[in-house]
Amino acid sequence: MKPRRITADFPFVGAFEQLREDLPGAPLGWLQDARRGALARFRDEALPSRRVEEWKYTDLRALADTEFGVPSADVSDALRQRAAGIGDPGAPRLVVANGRVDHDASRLDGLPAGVTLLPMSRALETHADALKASLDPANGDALAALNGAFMMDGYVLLLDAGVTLEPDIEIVFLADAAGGPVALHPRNVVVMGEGARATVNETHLGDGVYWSNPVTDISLAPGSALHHYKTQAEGGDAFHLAQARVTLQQGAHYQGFLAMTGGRLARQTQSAVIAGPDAAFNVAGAYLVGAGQHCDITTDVEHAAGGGASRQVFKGVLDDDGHGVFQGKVTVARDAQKTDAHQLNNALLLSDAAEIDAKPELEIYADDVKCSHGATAGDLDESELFYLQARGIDAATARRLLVSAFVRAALEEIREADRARFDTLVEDWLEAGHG
Amino acid sequence: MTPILEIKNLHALVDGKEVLKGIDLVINAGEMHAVMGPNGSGKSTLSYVLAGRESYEVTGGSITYMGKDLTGLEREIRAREGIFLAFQYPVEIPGVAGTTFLKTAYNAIRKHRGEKELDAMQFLKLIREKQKELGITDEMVRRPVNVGFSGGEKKRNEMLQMAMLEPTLAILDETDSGLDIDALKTVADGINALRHPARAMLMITHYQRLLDYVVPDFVHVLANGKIVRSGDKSLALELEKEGYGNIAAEAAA
Repeated sequence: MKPRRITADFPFVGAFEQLREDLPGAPLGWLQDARRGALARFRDEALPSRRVEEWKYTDLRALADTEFGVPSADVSDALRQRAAGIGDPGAPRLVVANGRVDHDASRLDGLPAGVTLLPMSRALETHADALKASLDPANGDALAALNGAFMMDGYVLLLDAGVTLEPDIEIVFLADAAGGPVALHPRNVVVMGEGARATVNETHLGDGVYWSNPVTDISLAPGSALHHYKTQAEGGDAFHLAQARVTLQQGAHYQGFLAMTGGRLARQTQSAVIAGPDAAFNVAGAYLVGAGQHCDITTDVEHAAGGGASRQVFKGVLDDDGHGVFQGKVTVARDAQKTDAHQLNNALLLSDAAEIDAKPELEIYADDVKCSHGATAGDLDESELFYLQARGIDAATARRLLVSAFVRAALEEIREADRARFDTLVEDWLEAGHG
Repeated sequence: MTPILEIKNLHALVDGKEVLKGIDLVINAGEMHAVMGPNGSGKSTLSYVLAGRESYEVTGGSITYMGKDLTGLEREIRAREGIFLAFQYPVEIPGVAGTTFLKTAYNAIRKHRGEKELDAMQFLKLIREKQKELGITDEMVRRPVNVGFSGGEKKRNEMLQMAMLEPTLAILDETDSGLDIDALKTVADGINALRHPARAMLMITHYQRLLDYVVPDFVHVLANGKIVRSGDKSLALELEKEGYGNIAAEAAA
């Protein structure tokens, strides 16, 4: 029998004792203990192999074989310029470069009263007590534990009750591995007070061989609403293994969108606990996967309270030998009556070598619920292509129209005003030589 | 004068099976030709071969369009050169707005002709004029192409596209199928409005009833992959009375 774990000897793990004094929150004794505890757990559990059910379709051996070291502070001007071009230049923004906040590129002033937006390193100086509960290193799998041991700068967003954050905020993560493979462990925390509202845009970019292992914990108090849009456009040699964990209290609303185009191996785990009645967790996304790429979307939605709604709509486009994975799990507890859970994954295969693995998983213990799931895989419709070409539209444009239309159905899940940043997602991807 | 379309001894395969077995047909500018025939005679194959559909393979003979060989041309180039196929079954394209589709097509053709592309405002102004003539609402053209349209709406939408793209050779493949009498009249009006001395039309139909409203200059009977008889509009009336059986038998004899 093959082992359930992959042991890896990452140089950065060996450097823990030297590193920890430079990581955020170093003076906090409880955090140092937590980091050590998390590291012990990672050493014990190691990386999951494909023998572990949740990792059946995603192989971490290539990750385990890479000698990831400690990131330097050097980030190229080219990357910094790309970061500067993202989103509204006047918007509040936090730029994290190689695990450290870039103060020059960040703009954290002018936020409304009741809003705290800080890099983790700073937040642990000013809001340590508020963060303690969100930084439990015992929470999560081995990768979350590894993040817990090495957690670096990420964003901390705290909203007081009743506050609406305007305008939308931009968070940019940059990775530059020019000096050799490095591992990054951004840690993000969002805590929204009762009735608070915010929109967070998150972008991930980089160059070289690196591993980004971000963990984001989001806590939504009753009646609060978060729109959370993520663009994962990591470099082509990158590993991106991200987790977002959302807890929703009564009447809270989460709307996420994931645009996944980057990385050699990418996995986004999106988990949610609907802890209070009548809360809604919605996540939509598009994953565009080209030659040599592997992209995995794994969701885990737990309806613990009744009257809640969850909605997952994903569109995958797979070109060349691209490999996509969609694992969608929904659990409805016995008391979570009147739950309405919907899940859909559609994959468009543009090449014979492209592959998609889709695994919906429903566990329903309540008897008065509405749960649906669907998964499809297919190629472009020849009769649609012919119809477009018979009107004078060239083959490349016809394909572009059809692929965009396919992905657009996922974008329609989010507010119209929020779609602009994803408008050219498909066009840019096709222009880069895909499809 | 050079004919718009000249087909000589055309043979074609569909999925490896010979469906067209030696077609000869000449269509001049300003003419309206009707090709009639029983199911399976090769009518739709002829239209797809002209439009360049994949899996329809020309194995012999020639197709000359405006004095040039057509068979080597990409399908979108044929459309840009002025060939328009009104589909028997217009295709639904979810997610692509009708206006986006038609504007892309329209400008591709303008560009090919060396004309200036229209911007969104100019395009909308033009399409509104054409919509009015065909009783097509703004809502219909904004919707995804043909999605949720009735049979009649789909055919009217084909007529709108034809009116916008102003083809040199229009091929109408069973445009009458699935239409009630009111829709048939609207579509026939749309066709008649586009009759023009510089334009040729090839109408493919199983039934005579469309020809009550769109009167052809020539009628051809296609049977078993060949044109077995040609005549004027009275041939259509004869077919209506006697059916295809006699003519097919005559041809076989």
